[in-house]
Amino acid sequence: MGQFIRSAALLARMHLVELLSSRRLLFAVLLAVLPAAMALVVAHVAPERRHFGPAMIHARATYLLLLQVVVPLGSLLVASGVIADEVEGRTITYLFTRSTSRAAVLLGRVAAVVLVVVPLYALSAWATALTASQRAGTMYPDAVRGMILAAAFGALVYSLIGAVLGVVFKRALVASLAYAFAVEGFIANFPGSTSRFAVQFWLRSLGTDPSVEPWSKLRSLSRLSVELVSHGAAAERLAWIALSLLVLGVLLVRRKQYVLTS
Amino acid sequence: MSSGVHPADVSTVIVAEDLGRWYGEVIGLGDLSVTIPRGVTGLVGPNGAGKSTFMKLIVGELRPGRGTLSVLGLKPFANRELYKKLGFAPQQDALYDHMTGRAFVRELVRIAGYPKADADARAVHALERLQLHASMDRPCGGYSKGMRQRVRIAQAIAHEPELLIADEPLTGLDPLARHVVLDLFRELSAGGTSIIVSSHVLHELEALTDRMVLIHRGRLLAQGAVRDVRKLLSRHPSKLHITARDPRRLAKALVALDYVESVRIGSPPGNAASPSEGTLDIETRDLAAFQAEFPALAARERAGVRSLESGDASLEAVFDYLVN
Repeated sequence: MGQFIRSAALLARMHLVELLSSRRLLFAVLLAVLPAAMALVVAHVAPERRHFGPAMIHARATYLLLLQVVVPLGSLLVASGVIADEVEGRTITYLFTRSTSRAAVLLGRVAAVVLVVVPLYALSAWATALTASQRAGTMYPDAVRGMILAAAFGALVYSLIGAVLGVVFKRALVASLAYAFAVEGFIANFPGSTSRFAVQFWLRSLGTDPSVEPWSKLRSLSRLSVELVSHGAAAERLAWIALSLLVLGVLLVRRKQYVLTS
Repeated sequence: MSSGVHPADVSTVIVAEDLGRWYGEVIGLGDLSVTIPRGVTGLVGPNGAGKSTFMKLIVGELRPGRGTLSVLGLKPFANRELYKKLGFAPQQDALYDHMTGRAFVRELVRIAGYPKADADARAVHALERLQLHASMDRPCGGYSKGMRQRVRIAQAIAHEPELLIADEPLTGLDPLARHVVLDLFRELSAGGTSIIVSSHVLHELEALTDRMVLIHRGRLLAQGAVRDVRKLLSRHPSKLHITARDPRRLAKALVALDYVESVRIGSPPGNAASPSEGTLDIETRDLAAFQAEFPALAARERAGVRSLESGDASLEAVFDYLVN
């Protein structure tokens, strides 16, 4: 077990160094800036109307942009390279012919991604609240905290989905984009209980509280009919999803064969 | 993870029985049965013969589609016990380009569980053996093709494996670097490391080892010492090349021997120091008889034989015979 943890930690550090100079992370950072930038622009240029107070600006920027676009796309983009980049670069051979578990390879590299994207998108949610609050009016601290938590959970779960897709598919980025649009873009916004099949449903439940402003208004604006679940239930479900994805990823990577070209 | 132990003979490193592997509709390896003993073994075959597939199966990168494979008595796929004893220098030109050669080898050794200081010492020693010590602290991205090839070998030997698998390790190397690598393989072999090496540079492989496994279209074509394999090819007469002071006189005597099939007098080699010298190319269907009788014949004819070389006992010639 000691060697497993040491190997995983070493692989995490190696992947972290790679990530910090990667184009994938640069794109993920640019995405992370978008909600705060949007909130900043709206806070300064939107007309002074009641539903354009700081709380509503924050809600719109996080609910519509951060949670539905930025977190899924950014996390999937970075995490899909966890194994797929090694396969594409044909360096997976070096890692998989060492006397260490393949699970350590996957978990170490996933840990590096999670260490980067979870703080990144939590920070993005916080920065969005900060920029929205430049508008005069009331902010709801619970709404801010909830959205930071949802962004962090979202980054974790989408990272794991991206990593698993990267284990299975050679073109993991394409598979991740297909997943993002088909499941998180389409099914998540499907009327009725079908939306429960998307991670978005649980993130919305965790990050929003329909009983209070501004979420009640936003819900009526976005015409969502499905009932969300409690924060606790959503957090529990997301934790189970994350754990299941980890187990699935480990099982798959232990059996997977990678045919590399010379 | 399976790490089933097979009752393998300690004198063998690889036992493959009816080993097959397909890539969809394309055959990578078909029904290969071979036993490879300890020592240095050359794996030879034309492009697409199945050498790399066989090596990927040996190192557990792929699982057999059919048949069984035992490497050092273990099933190879994702087998951590095996990887303690095995080093693999892959063919693909892929390194972590942002890392230095030293860091690359060191980190790979550390992943296998070695402490940092030990891993670094091993990395430096391996890179020194491949004469990369002067450039080991530069990023791999700036290395020449030959240097990258040597780094791939260094990472395979740094943990002192019992079995080294090297896929085309001489490709991309200049003559000096080839010499370094071949010397290293000889040293490793002398130290007890078994090596399986594939190459297209047949004469250099032949200089390293006499023991070959010849694969063609995913099947075993021949195995053993090159000369032994050559002897099996009785339908092809043995070719000999002779340099003599008086080749015509020698040719006249040789054509009288019933096991000599043809004698061809070559053009003079153009040696200014001995302008009268010439060459003979001979084909004989009984090499042993020829070798027994030729010394006496040469002395009797006083033809001034300068050299006698086999023209087709080389690996390249044998390989040509086998596949064509």
